[in-house]
Amino acid sequence: MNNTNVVGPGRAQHAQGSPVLDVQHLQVRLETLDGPLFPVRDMSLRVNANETLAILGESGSGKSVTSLALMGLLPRDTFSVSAESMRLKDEDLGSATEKTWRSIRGSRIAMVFQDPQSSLNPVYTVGAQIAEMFRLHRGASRGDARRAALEMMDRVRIPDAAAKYDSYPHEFSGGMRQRIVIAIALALDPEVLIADEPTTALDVTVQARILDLFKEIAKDSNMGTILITHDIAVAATVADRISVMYAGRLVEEGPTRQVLEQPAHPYTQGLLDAVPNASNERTALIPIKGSPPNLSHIPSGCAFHTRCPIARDECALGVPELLRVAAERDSACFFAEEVMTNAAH
Amino acid sequence: MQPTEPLLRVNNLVIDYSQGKSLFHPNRVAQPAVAGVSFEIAPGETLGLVGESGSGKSSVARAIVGLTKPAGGEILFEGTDLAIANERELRVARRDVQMIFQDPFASLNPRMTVGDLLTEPWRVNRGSLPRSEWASGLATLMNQVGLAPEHARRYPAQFSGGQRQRICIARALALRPKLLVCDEAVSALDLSIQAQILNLLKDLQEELGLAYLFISHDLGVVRHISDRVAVMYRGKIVETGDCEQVYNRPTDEYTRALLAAEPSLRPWDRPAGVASAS
Repeated sequence: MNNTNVVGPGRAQHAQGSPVLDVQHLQVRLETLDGPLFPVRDMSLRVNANETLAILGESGSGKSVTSLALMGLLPRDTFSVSAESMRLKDEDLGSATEKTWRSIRGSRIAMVFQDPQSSLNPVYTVGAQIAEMFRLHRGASRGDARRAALEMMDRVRIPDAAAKYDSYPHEFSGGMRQRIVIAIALALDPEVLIADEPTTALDVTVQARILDLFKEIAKDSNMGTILITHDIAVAATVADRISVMYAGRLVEEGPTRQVLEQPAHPYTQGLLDAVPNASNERTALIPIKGSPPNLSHIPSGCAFHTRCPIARDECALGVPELLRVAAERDSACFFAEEVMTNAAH
Repeated sequence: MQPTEPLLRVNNLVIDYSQGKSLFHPNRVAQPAVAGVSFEIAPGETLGLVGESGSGKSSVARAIVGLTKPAGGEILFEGTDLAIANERELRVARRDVQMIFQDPFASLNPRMTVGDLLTEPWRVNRGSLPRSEWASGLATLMNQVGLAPEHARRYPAQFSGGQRQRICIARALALRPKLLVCDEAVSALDLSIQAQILNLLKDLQEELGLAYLFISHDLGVVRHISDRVAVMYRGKIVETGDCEQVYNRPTDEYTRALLAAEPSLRPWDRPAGVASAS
């Protein structure tokens, strides 16, 4: 705000180009008997076609609620979603009615969830569940839908698709099931794909193959992908840019490699110091003190100040705005410059 | 590095859950969950056990603490074979071998206070600690795991996930065990909390001379905490050795595939082609 330590010229401008999804200052309010809670307090994102944005955060950071808000899936009687702007290309999602959402969900914005088991209907064959997309949304004939579904199964690298078409979900492994879910999501050629922890339930060797598939899809399709994850290494593997959320706010955003090599927010730095990695020599882990805040007791000012190693008095008073701190880099820390200098050594 | 007398020696352990012939697959021969696993843990040492789901690593853990009956093999704890020990011998051994689980929400009785939860081991194991020393023992335990002793009258629901895992660790430590079996003990925790618990486990090991059998699917976590590591695949240990050696120079093909599949924090440093080794 009017802080002297503010670096950069002013309000952050997000990545250039033509965003397929552009959300500015999203807020989600949840009514409870003890008063309102705000699972998302201030989240902005822009995803361009052909680009993967990872939203990184711990439990309670608001990343999953953000993804549900972007799909219009939060029940309207308990949640209220507001944003300065929320656009899917030229469609204003902020004012979309439930009827509009129904025409957008699944066809223009598609979603892949963590658990492929519960995303699929156990009593229909996997082929029929993909074909259903073409039957329902495109009015395709039985034969056309089947052909299109087989094509999708090829695209998500299911070997011998014709033979697997009539299998039921339980006959597939977790990784193969997730491929079917991805095929369903991609069927109608969506402009935006939202993947919420898509590999968290999978074994590491299966995860590697699904991540390869995501990279491949991102390369040869024209959609923007939002990957929601708690796993820094997963984000590093597939994302072009990373957004870091803490206590319902976007605290840092930038190109993946830059954010991970030289973070501009002490929370991002803290996460990197706390992660044990198989490819590193063993070094001491530096945990972040305390725990992520409870939604009903979010600290004043910068919500991270109670856990932050460099917090000063002003951090408890004013909420640091997300500001441009370097080319393509945004941070919501009063001392972003200091964090970046320390990270660079 | 390795003392002569191991604390725990597991010899050719076999665990088989199949109960005769299956109604639907009468001709299928089920493969045992654990098919002849052997390893040793020295006092004060950490053995990491890694593997993917279904590899049998949790079955090994459950057999060691007596939750699963092995179909064959030996589990020698300080010379006593737990696989064939009688109730009395088991009761003694179980004080020395404790376990912490993945989910700190499911492992604590929600209707007991932290104080009750932590003194219960002394109540159940009569003679382990005189009642007059419970109060001071409780305070010591809570301090040891970084909980404020004045919170002893609170219920588990009043604690966060990380704090609950601290309660589980304190409870496991109440009887001063020599071996702690940790089955995915930090897997459910947020990254920032996970590091706190890993550091706590290391500090406790130094302070109390505990040995750990540390089971996890997370290669990074296992590398961080273990002295030696064993890699399980389909019920067998396919590679075992010094941690740095296994991670830097894996000899088994599956270990190599597993390590190559682990996503890197710095994928841009990884030479092209390594990731596709699987």
